[in-house]
Amino acid sequence: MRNFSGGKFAVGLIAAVILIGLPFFVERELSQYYLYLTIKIIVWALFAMSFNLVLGYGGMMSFGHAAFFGSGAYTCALLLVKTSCPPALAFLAAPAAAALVGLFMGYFSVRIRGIFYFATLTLSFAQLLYILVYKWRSFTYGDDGIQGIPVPEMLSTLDTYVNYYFFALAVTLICFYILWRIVRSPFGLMLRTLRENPERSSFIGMNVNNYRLIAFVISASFSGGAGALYVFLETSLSPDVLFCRPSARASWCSSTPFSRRTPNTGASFWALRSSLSFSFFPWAWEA
Amino acid sequence: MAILEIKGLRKSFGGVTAVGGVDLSVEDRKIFSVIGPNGAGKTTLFNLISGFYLCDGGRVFFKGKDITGLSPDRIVKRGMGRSFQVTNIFPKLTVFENIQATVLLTQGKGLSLFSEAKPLGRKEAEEFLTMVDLLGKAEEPAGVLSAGDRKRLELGIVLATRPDLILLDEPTCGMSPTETASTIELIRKINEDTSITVLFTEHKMDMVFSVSSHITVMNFGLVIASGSPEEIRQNQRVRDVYLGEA
Repeated sequence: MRNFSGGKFAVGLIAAVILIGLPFFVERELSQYYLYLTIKIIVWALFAMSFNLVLGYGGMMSFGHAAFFGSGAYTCALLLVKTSCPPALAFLAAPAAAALVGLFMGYFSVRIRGIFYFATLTLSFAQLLYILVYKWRSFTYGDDGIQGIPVPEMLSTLDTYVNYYFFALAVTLICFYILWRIVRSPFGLMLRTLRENPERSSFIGMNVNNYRLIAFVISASFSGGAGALYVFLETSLSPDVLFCRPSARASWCSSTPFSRRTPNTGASFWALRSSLSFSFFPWAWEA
Repeated sequence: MAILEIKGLRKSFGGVTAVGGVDLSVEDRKIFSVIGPNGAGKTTLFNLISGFYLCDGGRVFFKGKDITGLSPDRIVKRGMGRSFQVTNIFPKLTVFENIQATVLLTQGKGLSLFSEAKPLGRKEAEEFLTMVDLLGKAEEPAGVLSAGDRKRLELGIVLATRPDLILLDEPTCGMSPTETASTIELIRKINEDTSITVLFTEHKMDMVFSVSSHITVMNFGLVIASGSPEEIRQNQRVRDVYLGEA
C-alpha cells in the first residue's frame, strides 16, 4: 500500500514538474504559437470533461453543448465590452449564465426519451441560440463578432502566454477536481445508474428527469467556464463558438472507448488530439 | 386489511384489451399470486399497478391512498417495489453498486455531490446482499451473473427500496429447478421475517400453489377466478382455460 501511494506521489510529482516547466520550454524552444495551442487544449479539455458528465456518466447524448460554451463566452465578452464589469465578475458570470441556459434547455430536453430525439432537441436549441446571436447584431455584433475584449494586464497574452497558461491550468485543474469529486459521489453513482438503465433507476425511486436536469445544469456551468477561458485567450469572439462544430468536437472527445474507461483523463487526452488536428488539419473539420 | 386495492382497472393497446376491468384486493403481509396463460394480462396489470403504464380506467389504492397515475418513482417511495419478467438491473455496475445505489437513494443521499460514495451505505447493502445470498459476488459486474443470480440481485434491489409490498413478475423465470426451489424459500422467508406483502405472477404451478395464500386467475384481461389454492384447484373454469383439464 505504501509503495502504491509512493508511486502515485512520484507520478504526481513528475506531472507537476512537466506542467510547470512546459510553458517555459515551449515558449523558449518552440514558439508562442505552440503555447497558445497548449492553452487551447486545456480549454477544450475542460469543455470535454464537462460534456463527459452528461454523456460518459449520465448517458445523455447532447449535441447542443456549444450553446453552453458559447453562452458563457458571450456573457463574459459582452460584460467586458459593454459594461464596466470587473473581469473577475465577468468570468464568474459565464458559468452562471451557461447554467441558466442549461436549465432552460434541460427542462425540455430531459423529458425526451431516446438518444436520437434528445440529441436532435439539444442540437435544435443550440442552433436557435446560434441564429439569435448571429442575427441580433445590435446587441451581439452578429457575424462581425466581438474584437478587442479587454483582459486584465496580469493575464494579457500580448507579450507572453505563460501567465495565462498558469491561469487556465489552475482553473481547469480546480474544475477537474470538482468534477472528479462529483463523479465519485452518490450523485455520480446515480448518474451511472441512469446511463445503465433509466427504467430501473425510476423503479428504485429516482426522479429520472430531476437527476438528468441537475447533471445537465452542472455540465452547462463548467462548459460556460471553458467558454470564459476561451474569451480571455482569444480576446475576440464570433458566433462560430455557438455552432454545432464545438458540440461535435466535445462528443468526439468524450465518446471514445478510452474516455469511457477513464472518463475525465480520456476526455482530456482526446481534447489534445482534437485540438492538434483542428490546428494542423483544419480542412478535416470544415465538412 | 388490504394493502392493495384495485378497482375496475382497464388498459387497451389499440383494439386489443390487455386488462379489461380487473378488481383485486391484496391482504397485508400475505403472499398473493396472479396466474394465467400467456397474454392473459398479468404483466400489463403489474405495469399499471406500478405506474409503468397509465391506465385507461379504474383506480389503484395502496395503503388506503389513491396512487392511480403516479410515476413509478413516487410509487416506490410510497413503499411498493417491483421486479420485471426480463431481469432489470444495472449490468455494468458491480453487484454491490446495484444495491448500494438503491440504499443511498432510499436514504435520501442520492443528491449528495461531494461525499465519497464508496463507504456510504456499505453495511446496509451487505445486509441485503446476504439476504439474497450474493455477498460473495459483490465485486463482480452484475452483467456477468447467471440468470438465477441476476433474478436474485433484482430481488435484492427491490428489497433495498424497503418496500411494504413487492410485485414479482415471474421471479423464477429462466431458473434451474434448484434455483427455483431456493427462490421459493427466499420469498417465503422474506414474507415471514420482514412481513413484506408479496404479489407475484408465475407459470410454475408447483411454486404458485406451495407459497400462495390467495390466487387470482386471469384470462384475456379478465379475472376468471379468485380464492385459496384449494378453491382454485377445484374451479372447473380454471381447469378448462389454464390447467388443461378441459
